[in-house]
Amino acid sequence: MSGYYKKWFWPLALPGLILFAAVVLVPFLVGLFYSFTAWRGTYFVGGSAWSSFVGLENYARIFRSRQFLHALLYTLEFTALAVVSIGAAGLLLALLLDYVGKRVALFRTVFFLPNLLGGLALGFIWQFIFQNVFTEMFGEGGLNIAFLTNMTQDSTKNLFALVIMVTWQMAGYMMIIFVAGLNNIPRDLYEAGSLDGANAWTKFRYITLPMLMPSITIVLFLTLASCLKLLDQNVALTNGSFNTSMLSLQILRTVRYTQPPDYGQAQAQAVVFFILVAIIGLVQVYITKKKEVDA
Amino acid sequence: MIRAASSEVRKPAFRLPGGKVAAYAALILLALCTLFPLLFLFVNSFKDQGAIVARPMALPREWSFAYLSSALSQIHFVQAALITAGITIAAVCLIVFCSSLLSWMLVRNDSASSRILLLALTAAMLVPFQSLMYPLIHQFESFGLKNIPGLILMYGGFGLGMSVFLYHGFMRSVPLALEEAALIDGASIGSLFFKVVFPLVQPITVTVVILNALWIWNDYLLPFLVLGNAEHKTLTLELYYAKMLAGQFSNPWELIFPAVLGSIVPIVVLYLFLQKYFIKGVTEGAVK
Amino acid sequence: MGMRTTRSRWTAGAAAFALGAALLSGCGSREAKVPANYDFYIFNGKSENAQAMEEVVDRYEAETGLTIKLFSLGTTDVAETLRSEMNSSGKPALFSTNIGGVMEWSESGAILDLNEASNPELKALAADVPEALRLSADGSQNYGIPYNIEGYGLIVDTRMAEQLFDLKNPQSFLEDFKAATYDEFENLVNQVEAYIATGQAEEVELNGNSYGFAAAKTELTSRLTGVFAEAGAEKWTYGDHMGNMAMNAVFGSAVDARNASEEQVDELEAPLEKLVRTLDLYSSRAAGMDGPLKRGPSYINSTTASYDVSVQLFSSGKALFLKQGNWVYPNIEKLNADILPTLTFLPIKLPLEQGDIKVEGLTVEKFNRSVPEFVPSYYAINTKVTKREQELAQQFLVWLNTTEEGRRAVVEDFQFIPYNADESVKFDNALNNSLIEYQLAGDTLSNPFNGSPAGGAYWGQEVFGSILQERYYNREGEWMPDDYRTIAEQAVQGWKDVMY
Repeated sequence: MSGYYKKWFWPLALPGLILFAAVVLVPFLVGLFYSFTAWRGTYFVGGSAWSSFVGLENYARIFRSRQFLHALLYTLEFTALAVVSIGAAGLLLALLLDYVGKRVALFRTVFFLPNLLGGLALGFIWQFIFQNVFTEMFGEGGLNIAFLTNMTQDSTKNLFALVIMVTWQMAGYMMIIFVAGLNNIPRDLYEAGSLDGANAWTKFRYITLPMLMPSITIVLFLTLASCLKLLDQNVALTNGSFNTSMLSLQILRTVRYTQPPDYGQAQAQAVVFFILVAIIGLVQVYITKKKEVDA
Repeated sequence: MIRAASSEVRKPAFRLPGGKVAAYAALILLALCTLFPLLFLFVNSFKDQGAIVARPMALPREWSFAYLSSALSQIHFVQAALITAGITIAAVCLIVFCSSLLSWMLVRNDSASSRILLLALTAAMLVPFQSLMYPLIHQFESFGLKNIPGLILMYGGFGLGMSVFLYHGFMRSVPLALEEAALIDGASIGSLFFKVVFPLVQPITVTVVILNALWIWNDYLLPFLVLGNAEHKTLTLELYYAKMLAGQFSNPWELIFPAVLGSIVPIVVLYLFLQKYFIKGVTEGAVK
Repeated sequence: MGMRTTRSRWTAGAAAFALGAALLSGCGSREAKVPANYDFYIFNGKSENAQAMEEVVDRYEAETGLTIKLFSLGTTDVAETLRSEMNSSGKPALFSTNIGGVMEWSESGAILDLNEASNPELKALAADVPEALRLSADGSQNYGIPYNIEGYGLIVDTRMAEQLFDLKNPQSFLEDFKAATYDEFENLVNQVEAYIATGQAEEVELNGNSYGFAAAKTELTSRLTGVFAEAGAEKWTYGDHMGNMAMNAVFGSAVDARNASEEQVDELEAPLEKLVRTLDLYSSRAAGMDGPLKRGPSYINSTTASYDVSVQLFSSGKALFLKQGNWVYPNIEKLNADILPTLTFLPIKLPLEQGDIKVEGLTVEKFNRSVPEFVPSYYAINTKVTKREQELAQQFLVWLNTTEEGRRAVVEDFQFIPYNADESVKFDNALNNSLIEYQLAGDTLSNPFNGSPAGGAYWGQEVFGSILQERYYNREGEWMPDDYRTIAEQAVQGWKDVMY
């Protein structure tokens, strides 16, 4: 039997593997190599890839680059805030839906709706809302909350503007995952809890949360990855003005803001970016998996 | 999971303070917050620039379709929607075809090397696009593939990681006995896969289709890099260029809002009809 | 199926990858191919003349029987698009570039040094491009033929000045304004502000001559709500264009700024400090729709939709000055065509001292009577296409810049000020004519901001402009001399941060 499948392995697996190699693996390895060269996008300094080999110079330069370090920090700050905010909002929605139980289809439809829209389209709408509507609504004469005015023209405020926007967009998705998770919790656990005299908070803390760990793992994985790599919303909202570039945008901008365009350096930034995403992703999966087992 | 709970008398997993009235009130409020930007977009797609800027929250004095129709013609709406749909459908088919076959073979040939392959494929989910986009574009360009077919192939490659991950998780639960029985009945490899395996994994196929279709439909960066300002653009790209070409030094909202509205209508309509599958797809994808 | 076959298949797979990688490193050195369905390809990186260029190229095609591929694009992505076209199999023979792109194309060898052009007429044409307007990497080359001249300054409606000061002949007032010192200018601004508020103000002195205000406001002057029409949301209006004024004290050209040393960047601090003082004056005397516009959130928000709002303030007579370039002419035309004939440029003045100026031969007096004029874009020839395509592209450039028909196309169809304009070139556009006057008088400054790090737009907007908007225009309250210095220091530091 296994011989039969072995015979068919290459013919059936090959289309996928070729695609993977051509689109992901080879360009990734080539990119890794280019990050050690003075590559300019359309040519190499000195004529060929080998003659433009610069060793670790590109890497040394990006760690001296304030812009890159700022983008790195900005990305981490944003991701930390956004992951918590999206997770909390998604969980709140799921708890509400789960609690009311009936007539939830319409709400579910509405909450999931923002996920359908592209970051660029969303960003254009929100840019106007932050610049004009919020500034009017929260400005003097309105609710007078200075923090919520002109949010896209200030590095710190824009961080929160982005968080508001991605929470709005992604909470509905996470809600669906949490709803499925909540449905998996055996109801008698709560009855047992009630008999033991547990109040709402202790039940939430000691029954709901631990039982939701598998969903939390998935939510964390999904939000971490998409927040770290966020680009479209960043482009549409500020396009990097006022020191608001996150890493994805910074890498794109590096070739615009260097003359001649320093693709080698951008490539080195991308490699560092990859390492960062990979480490955070793996650590997160490791920790939450461990918690799941413990719980 | 969802199915199991609904048959018995339904009890909430967790009781919220404040009672059901408060919960409904909160839901309605949150739903309005969620809908606000979209309603805002809708209302402002029928106003002129002056009215948008001066009174963004007001309903239009008269509902003029002039802005919508001029924006739709500027973003070549019909052409762009067809192109985007074509690219999305072709890429999703490619992804489903390649990743289901590949996953099947990986599941049925469980060895150290196939586990390494699976690891490499799933690790690709962590690779930021930026770390390979320049070499990728360069390489495809040199093969004459810096065009729509090339774009479809690229999506095929990028969608593979997540899709194999999903299929692989699901296919492990497909009993080998079913396939053996079919083989004994003399099934060919083709009918074994398409008649036995593929129908069994249909739920996860829905997930793969929905999740991939969503990001491909809305993707901006890849079409921007591959097609750029070519004659045939995707909807997102049309939107981007409509804003850029209208003047880098100004925001022509009377063009942008109706263009955004036009660009999101197809997917929203599709969602309203197929939302059962959207929700199911997302749920299945998360549970595995 | 034994273990051995599996392993050999793995080896085969690895070999296939290696082959793929080898193929990759081999590409990129393809020979120029003869294009299939056109004779040569023009990449026009300027959207202003996109339509007109199409018509001009059509006429040229009819005249010569050639088939030309034309592609026009003028956005911030133009560099990426051009790069992609230059890397494709259908490369443009004629492309547009400027100081931002010249390092790339000279390093790759794609740009033809016109000193070595094969067409003798083009070679001669290039040799005649004034030294200050040439495109080069280090000053020795001559890479392009200028598209046109653009310039900016304080746009004023002379009728407004006439009625403010009850002038018989505005010409002498304009001349005195040009020659005036910064202090005289500052006093004029303050007195105009007082006149707007109270209808009364003291006499002002310009170039030693006194001008008294009209006893009563006219219908026109009573519309004024402020002295300057400002676009607070548009960082390029102050970051790039005003930043360029300070740079002109240190750098004589974009090439100089491109090759700046760290010492030269330090020298920028003093003029920048003076510039911020000027920006303080402008932003505290700004016009709004119904009254003066104060700094603070509304200073930014009034123009988030577009800088057209500031153009509108000026066009409707609410502001005396609009600091803008000749490119706003079509915008004004849409808003209030009546004022078009009486528009003119006045120089932007800075409170510089001679010690602040490092450019040889430039005095404070000359600085304060000059307007910046520069070439935004150049035509360049691509060496990576076939000889025939290069030849045809050169012929087109010669035709456009030397024949009567071509020169007429530049002036009438493109509405461009030719880089080599003489007295005979006259426009319906009063702003263009005003720039030509400054050009012929030699009272011009340059565009070093295009040579500032990261392609011009970066330092001006993301560093200098951002500091101003985020921390100063956005807040109410006075600016202190300490603020002037802080802004200048941070802007200089921001420049050094991106110097490699």
